[in-house]
Formats: sequence, C-alpha cells, structure tokens
Amino acid sequence: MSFTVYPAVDIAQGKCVRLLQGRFGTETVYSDDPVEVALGFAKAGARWLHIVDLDGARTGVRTNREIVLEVVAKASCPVQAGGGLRGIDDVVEILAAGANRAVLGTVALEDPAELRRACGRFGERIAVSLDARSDQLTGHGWTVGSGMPLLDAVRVFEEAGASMFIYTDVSRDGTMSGPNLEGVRRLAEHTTRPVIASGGVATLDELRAVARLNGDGVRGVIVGRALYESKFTVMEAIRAADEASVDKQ
Amino acid sequence: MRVAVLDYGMGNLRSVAKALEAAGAEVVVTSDSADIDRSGALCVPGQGVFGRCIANLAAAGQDELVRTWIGDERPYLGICLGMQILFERSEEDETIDGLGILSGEVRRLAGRARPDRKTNVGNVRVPHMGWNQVSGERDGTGGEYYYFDHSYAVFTSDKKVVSGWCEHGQVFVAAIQREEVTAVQFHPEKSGASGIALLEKWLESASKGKQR
Repeated sequence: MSFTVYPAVDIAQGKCVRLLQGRFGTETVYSDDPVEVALGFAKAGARWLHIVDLDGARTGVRTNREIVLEVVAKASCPVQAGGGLRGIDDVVEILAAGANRAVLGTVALEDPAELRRACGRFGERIAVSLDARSDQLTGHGWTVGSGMPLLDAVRVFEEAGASMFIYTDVSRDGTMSGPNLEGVRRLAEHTTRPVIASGGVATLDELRAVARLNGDGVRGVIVGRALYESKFTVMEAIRAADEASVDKQ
Repeated sequence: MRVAVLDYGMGNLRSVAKALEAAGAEVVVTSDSADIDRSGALCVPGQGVFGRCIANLAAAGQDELVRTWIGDERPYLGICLGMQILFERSEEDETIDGLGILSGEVRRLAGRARPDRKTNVGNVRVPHMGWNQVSGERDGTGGEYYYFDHSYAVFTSDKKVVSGWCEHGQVFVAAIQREEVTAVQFHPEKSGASGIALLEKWLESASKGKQR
C-alpha cells in the first residue's frame, strides 16, 4: 500500500488522449468520454487516479474544466488533478469539487510566491509537477523550457513548501520505451519528499522496477498508454507494484 | 431503501450519493426535515472543520434532528466529521460542544505537517491522507483498506462501541457500531470496492432495523 499506481486520464478538447513525448498534435484519442474512462479505472480497482486537463496545462485556459470537476466529484477513489491550475482560486475550486490533491506545474515555475501560498494553505494536498526534458524543467504543458535545472528547481519548491513531487521525463512520456529509472532515483535521493514517477512504463517488469525504488522515496507511478493499449490491467499493475514494493517500506 | 444524505453546507456530497446508489440505495440529498423523516436511513457525511460543522447543524436545527433520529434508533451512518460530531468535544474547536451521543473526544493526531528535512525518520504526516488498514471490525470485514483524509480522530474509553481500529503513528478509532449507529472515520465513497461493500452491508442491516 505504500506504493501507488495512478492510472492517467489526460484530456484534450474533451477527449481522452495520450500525447507522444508531450508534443501536442501527436495525440492518440482513446475515448470521447473521459469521465467514463476515469470512473472505469476506479471501478476496476484503482486506488488513485491522475487526471490532467492538457489544454489547461498548455494555455492556462481550462477548456476541460467541467469534465475534470465531474470526475473528481464522482470517482469512487481519490483523485489528483492538474492542468491549468494557475493560482489559489483554481486550487480551492478543484479541492472543493472533491479532488484529493491538486497538481501545480507552470505556476510553481513562474510564481513561487503563489506556490508558497498554496502550500501554506493546503499542505499535503498540493503536489508539484516536475516535467523534465534533458534535466531541464518545462512549463505550459511541456511546451516551454524554463532554463531551470531540475534539481535546483526542486530545492526552490521544497523551500516554498511542496510536500510531494510528480516527475515526468517528457522524452519518455507516451513512448512505452521504459521509465527513466536513473532520473527518478536521482530525484528521490535529492529530496525527502515523496516522488511519483511518470512516463514510459510499458510492461509489468518496468512497473516493478519503479516500485522497487519505494525504499528510495519513490511512492508511486503514473501509467497511461500501457493501460489504454491493454498491456496489463489496473489490478495486474497494482498487484505487481504491491509485490515489488512490499519488502522495502 | 431510501437514504437521506444530510446537506448542511459542508462540501461535496456527490461522491457519497453516488456510492450509496452504487450500493443499491435510493438517495435523496436534502436539508429538509420532512424529507429526511420520510427516509429509511440517514447519512451524515462531512468534511471541513468540527466547529463550523456543529454550528451549521445547530443553525438549521439539524443537531436536534440527528439526536432524535438516533434516539429513535433509526439507521444512521456518519462519515468522517459525521462520526466526530457524535462525540462530546473536539480539540479542533473547544468553544463548541459535540452532540455527546457517544462518550469520548476528538483529538488531533500527533505528528507534524511536514517531514523533517534532515532526518525524515519516524515522521508521521498529518493530515493522515491515504489508504490504510482497518482491523478488529466485528462483523467480517476486518483487514480491509480504506481511504482516510483527516487530522483529528476519535479517542474513547468506551471500547464496546468500537468496531474498527486504525494506526497512523498512534491507534485511533476507525469505525463505530452501536445499535443503529454506524460511523466511520474513513471515506467509503472514496474506497472503491471495499467502500461499496461496507455501504451495502450498512444498507442491509439498516433495512432490517427500525423503520417508520
């Protein structure tokens, strides 16, 4: 139970999609009904969900806001939600609607004071998304490089009060080419905050490899395309993660 | 079974209503006492702050409604704050009394809100947010995992009413069962299949209980 598998529901223009390496225009549409997909994952046994408004992440305008709010209100398991949350008001809204954790990315990069306010008020209910391309942080839905080295940014966000990180190696995301184990391990070593890994997991063996980093502070993994392409099921993923992480609490 | 979910202005009730429906209930989300009285069972969910919760209930006369309902031995399900309000008092707000239907009090979980950056050893994070195991339930669901999200918990010396325990740094009361009162600290509506199973069990026992 100390290592969590997060099925991912990414929404672009109302549809449930997966991007390739975070590039817009590369998306594969998996469903026209993201709410049904999300609730389906919960029903299949997911212990958490990860939901992202991709248009919100990129443009700051939460085009898929209604869909996200519907999912967080209805899901039968806890949900972390992000994409276009640019300030306290957005966080307040999404938590009030029923989200259990709000994920901040761009705002953390561009407005550390706002991040500090959000963490001060909501503590553990805030996670900071670290979307890295070649060890450099990106924002605006992975479209804009920040010039900030990943590990420097982590220090800044910790200072602002971030209590959890979600690490995405954007170059692996949607590729099913295997997770960046070294990258996530290095990050987890660098911070005492729990880290959730994202990007590239295609097989149960790769998922187990991430789960074995449990003892280093990696507390979860986000899985997208592999579930949509039926490489394994939600319950298979959870069982594999539980087994692999059980000896290192 | 028709279940009234009490709407007293304390946050999102959709997931609770939806979970009860999934467990087979006919659900009405309402603050209307006549509407509630027509129902076979009452569910009081809750998130937010103890003091405001009690104050909201009192302002609408719903504290008496809950007292009478439980006094009449009609089926009650309290979730999170809906459990805590049944006790005598809470450290979260000492200026206002709880309903005092059960003996015991609500105290803050020991721990710090943030891990110690240097050591991070033995640190207990508060709020207690996440899945945790409930043990010692009396009627067959012991050992299940449920989703918790709270900083305060019930402590009571009246062990007879405790049907489930949980540990997060310290042992606290996770579930209560006394006559027609069922109450849980965790969130069955966010606990997937385990949560639905618990709600089904409650509905089953409620349908055998005293009805009007």
